[in-house]
Amino acid sequence: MDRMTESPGVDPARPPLWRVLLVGSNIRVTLIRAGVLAMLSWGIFGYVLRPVRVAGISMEPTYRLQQVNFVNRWSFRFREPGRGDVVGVRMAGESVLYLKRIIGLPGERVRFVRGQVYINDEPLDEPYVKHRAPWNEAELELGPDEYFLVGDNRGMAARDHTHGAFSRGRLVGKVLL
Amino acid sequence: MRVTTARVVGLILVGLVAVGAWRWWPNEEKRVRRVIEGLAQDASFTAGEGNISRIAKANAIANRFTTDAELHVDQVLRVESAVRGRDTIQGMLMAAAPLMGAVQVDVHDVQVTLGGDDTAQVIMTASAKTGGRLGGDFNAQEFELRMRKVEGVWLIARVEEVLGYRKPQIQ
Repeated sequence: MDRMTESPGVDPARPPLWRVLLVGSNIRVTLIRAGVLAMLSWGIFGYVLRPVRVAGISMEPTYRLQQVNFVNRWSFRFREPGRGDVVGVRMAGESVLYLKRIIGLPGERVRFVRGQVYINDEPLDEPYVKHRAPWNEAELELGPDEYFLVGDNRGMAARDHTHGAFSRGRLVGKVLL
Repeated sequence: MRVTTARVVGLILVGLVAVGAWRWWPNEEKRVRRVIEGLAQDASFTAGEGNISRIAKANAIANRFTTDAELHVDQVLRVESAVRGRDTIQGMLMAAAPLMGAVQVDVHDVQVTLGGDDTAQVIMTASAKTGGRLGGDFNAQEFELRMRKVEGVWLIARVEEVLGYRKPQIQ
């Protein structure tokens, strides 16, 4: 008859601690979990939430340099972009995006008078603008497919600030946070 | 079991070779892309880079253009008219290169469309990081390039900035 010895408190069926820490108690379950996580990450970050890192100052103080955020590419699938939305705008592709705020909607007339925005001759309340240089710009009438986008940092010269009428096709999605 | 393992390993190896061949096999589109990537490398400078290296890079950039090349980059260069001719481009680059601080130029989303007559159209975004340890200012601009193959070498014949939006008139 075999004699079995057993250390008190140690389960012989349980793998060693280093292995549990490294690959979990069941390697097959861990691999499945890792696979599912990788697929979810690929799907979510590749097709739904595009990670972005802020690299310019045109959206300060709302978004600061090096801040990480996400652009929700599905945000405008079920509703149209609205005034006040901060959106990602593509260039040749989506590797580099502008982050801008929508202030004008299709068909509206937008102009700047001493830094104040007027939409169809009505002043627009913009509590998010903390620095305001006296921009003066001629009225721009938006087409049926155009949105007027501008950054929140209006303290810089207008010519140094990318803003104007962007077509709907360039809007990638709404900024999540 | 050993046969199955060998087959799986063999399939993986064949796959890797196929991917490698597809990736490294030369074709015209890849040659055009290499010119664009080389341009970005030559347009990047470190803070401590010497003038000789900078002027060599400026020369290398100029040599990527055709003799009759045109630059329509009013917003980027803040100039009213187009820049015409390789010699003019070279002169501008030679003058600017020693004065520039650290700059890191990158190209993104390069889309190449080959024409049938040794021409190609390239649409891309170029970005430039400047400032202390390149953490300062960041600018990006979309461009459309027309390229022409001259004596077997792809050269840039025209550069045009793409605004992508309607800018209001500043008063």
